[in-house]
Amino acid sequence: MIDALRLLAGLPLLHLLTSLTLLLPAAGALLLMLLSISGVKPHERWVAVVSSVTVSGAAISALLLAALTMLRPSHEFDEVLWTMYSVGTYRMDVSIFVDPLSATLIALGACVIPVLARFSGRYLHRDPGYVRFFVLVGVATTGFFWFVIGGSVDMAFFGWELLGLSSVLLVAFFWDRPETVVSSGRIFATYRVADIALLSGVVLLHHYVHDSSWATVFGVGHPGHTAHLGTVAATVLSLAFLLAAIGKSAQAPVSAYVLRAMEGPTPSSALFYGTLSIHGGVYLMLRVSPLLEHAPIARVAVVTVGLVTAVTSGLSSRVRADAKGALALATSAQAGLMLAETGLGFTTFATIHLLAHGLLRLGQFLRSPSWLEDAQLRRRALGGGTFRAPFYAERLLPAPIRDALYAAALSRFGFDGLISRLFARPLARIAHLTSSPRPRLRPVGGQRIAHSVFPLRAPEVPAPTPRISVPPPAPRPGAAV
Amino acid sequence: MNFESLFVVDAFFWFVVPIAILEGVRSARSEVLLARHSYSQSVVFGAVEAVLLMAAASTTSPLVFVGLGVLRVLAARWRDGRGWWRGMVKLALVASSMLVLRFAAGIDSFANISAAAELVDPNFRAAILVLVSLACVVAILPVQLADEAKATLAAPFVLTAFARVGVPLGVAEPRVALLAPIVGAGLSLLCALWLLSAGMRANHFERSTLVSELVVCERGVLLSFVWLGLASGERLAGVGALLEWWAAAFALLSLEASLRVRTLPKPMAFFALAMAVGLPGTTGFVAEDLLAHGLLEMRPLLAAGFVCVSAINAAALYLALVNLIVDSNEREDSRPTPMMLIPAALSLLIGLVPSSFVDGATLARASVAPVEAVVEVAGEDATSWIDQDPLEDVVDAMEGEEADEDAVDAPPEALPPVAEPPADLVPADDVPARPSPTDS
Repeated sequence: MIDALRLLAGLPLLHLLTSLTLLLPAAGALLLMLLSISGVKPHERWVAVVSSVTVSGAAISALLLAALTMLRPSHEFDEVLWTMYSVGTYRMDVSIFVDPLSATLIALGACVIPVLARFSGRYLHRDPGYVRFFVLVGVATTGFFWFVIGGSVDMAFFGWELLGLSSVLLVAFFWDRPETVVSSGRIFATYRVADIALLSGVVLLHHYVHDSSWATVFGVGHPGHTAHLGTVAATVLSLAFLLAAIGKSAQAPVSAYVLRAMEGPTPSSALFYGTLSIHGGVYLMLRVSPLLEHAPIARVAVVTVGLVTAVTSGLSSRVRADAKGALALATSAQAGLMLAETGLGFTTFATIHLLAHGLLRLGQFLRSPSWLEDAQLRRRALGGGTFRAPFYAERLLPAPIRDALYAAALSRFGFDGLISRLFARPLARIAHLTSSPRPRLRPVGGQRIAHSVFPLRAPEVPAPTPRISVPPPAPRPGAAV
Repeated sequence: MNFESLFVVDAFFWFVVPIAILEGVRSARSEVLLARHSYSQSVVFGAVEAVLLMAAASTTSPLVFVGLGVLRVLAARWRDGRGWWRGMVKLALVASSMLVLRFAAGIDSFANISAAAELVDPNFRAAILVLVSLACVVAILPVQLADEAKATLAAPFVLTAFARVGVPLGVAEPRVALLAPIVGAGLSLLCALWLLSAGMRANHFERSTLVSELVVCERGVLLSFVWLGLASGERLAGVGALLEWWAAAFALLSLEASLRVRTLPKPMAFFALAMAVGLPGTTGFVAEDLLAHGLLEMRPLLAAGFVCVSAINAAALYLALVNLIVDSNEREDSRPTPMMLIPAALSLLIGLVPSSFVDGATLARASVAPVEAVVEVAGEDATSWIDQDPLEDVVDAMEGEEADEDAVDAPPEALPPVAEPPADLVPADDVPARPSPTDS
């Protein structure tokens, strides 16, 4: 049986599965997008069927690809599929690399994506953005699989960007609400910083070793062929990748953006901030962990960032009153722990942690709209009784420290304000210096609007003064009329 | 001098043709919407614009180039009923550079510039470069452009002038070649910050003003990238810059067409945003990838600045766009028009199957660059596009002799030998070769 499967694991079948994985969800998204653009309003059922078939097909193909790869003697499938373009000695190859680490992520995606496609079909029933949602799910699935099984950092970046933009557009799904689109703007800005960090890593890799494929650069599976990088180069590269991971995995000090991300529909929150996207940064650091061996400073930074996030986001999640917010922060805290594990060298443990955590969060996010009902049902099933608060370790702390921690956790340790003071406000002030108010300003309350660094916040319009009837001055005696 | 020597159909010309056609279509559509002229007149205006731009891309004579520029300004005056000071300034700068090139430097054909660059007096060379660079700055800077709806989106005339004159001359003038990309980077940062400011104060503007601000600032950022890449003198960055030019044309046309309709087609507007910020699968991604790699080879700090500006630009454009959507307060979407869809489809096509287009851009870059680059990059196929022995032509022209017209058909043997790639670009021997489909 095993021999037969090994025969099946020949290259033609692997090529077919790779093509299906990479192209099927994109084809589904393109089809739905063309239908949407052409003005055709397909029935919800057909939209759900097209989306489910394409993304689930890709998930199954990916799972088979991973399984067949694990049957190969080397447990690896590393191949250049085609050259996208080349100029002189510079080439952009479309390549694939499957190993036990990417197989783990494939398994997570294969479990999550079909479930979410099925769940969303009913959850978003009669929503005006029904087709748009499934188009973006297709784009996100495409991005995820390109990111995970791409054979080079270039391919990973390709998927990383698709995943980021689709998640931002899903946060802005209800775009008739101002808060939603403003939140998506903040997330987009954070993601762009992460994208640029990853792009810098890609460019620096080309600069240092003229190659960016996982297999050759990091010596994954080829211990004797790791590219020769000095400590400085390895540190710079690792820090660039760490910055990218901080943005993607909501690590300190940008961890609070996951709360803004909860503005999107629940299935998208589960897809991006419970399972796939938020673990993207962890996956990236796991993938580049061989670099950390040559960069002790970067290793310390990874562990520090991870632990700080684990503590701050963990405490913040404990004081959140809303279910999705608490879950999002808890996910961020767990991602921090995974980063710390990676930095400490426990990569296998971090991989298992990632898989288990992703599956747990999928269930928790999808059940979050009925959290209270679930709690009541659970209590009733256990025989009812009065509610007793469980024991918390924080109770052992002195009251002043506990109160201070509570206040800090409630304000998410001031990270939002710090980012705003250090980056957002100065950038806004510099930006306002470049453009003076234009002549065709919209008058509000009969007055010209002053500068404001805050988007979507019009200045206070003074309340109309109450009319007081002032009697006209009495004419002076003798004045001419 | 006959007609055939005045105009040449080279790779660069074919590269400019789509931009010229799109600009012509945009001009005609704009006139139809404004209803200032009849439908047929509007179409004629668009056709004239496209033909003049294509002629400017194909001419080899600086004087003909200036003449075409004058014709464009006259056509715009006839069309709009008034003159545009920006157009006049740009034309004056370009014309000055061309006149210096022709009469002071003694170069009568663009095809001879790269070979004659070293022979030109350094002062004249610097003057030409400064003038043509200033024209680019005037074309890119979004000053008062919010009121100037008739400006082209991709600045094809000025960028053609820079590509034909600035790129080959810049190789021999390291001071300007060093300064111009830095100015370009500063310009792109300025435009990105301007866009950020406009996005933050979105609710202070009337919608039409905000759309104008958004489009012209984005235009400034993207065209700055084009100029930056061309001026850097680096081959990879130059190829990326040419593709960025296409990406800018597609993105800006689609963005403007999406935002200037009464009911906003939101999905299309977001797709235009994706095109502008270089989402994978669009032309912008390929272009920015090549630009970043090319800049890094020469000036790492410039490359870092480039990626930072592109990050600010993306965030600012997104902010402006979402604020526009919130401000419009429309729940419905309108259907996209062909003017939005055609650039989007082209951008997707090039982004998904970029190989042939990158080769085309490589040839186009090589056709305005030194001969060695042509041979090294594109092999013998590229040599048919250019003058094979330009140095001899220039020397003859300078001595007042008749140019050797047979030089166009010179055999490939006359070309200099192909240079070996530097040792640091050769892959290390200890890196194992990756399997390819042919191995299987």
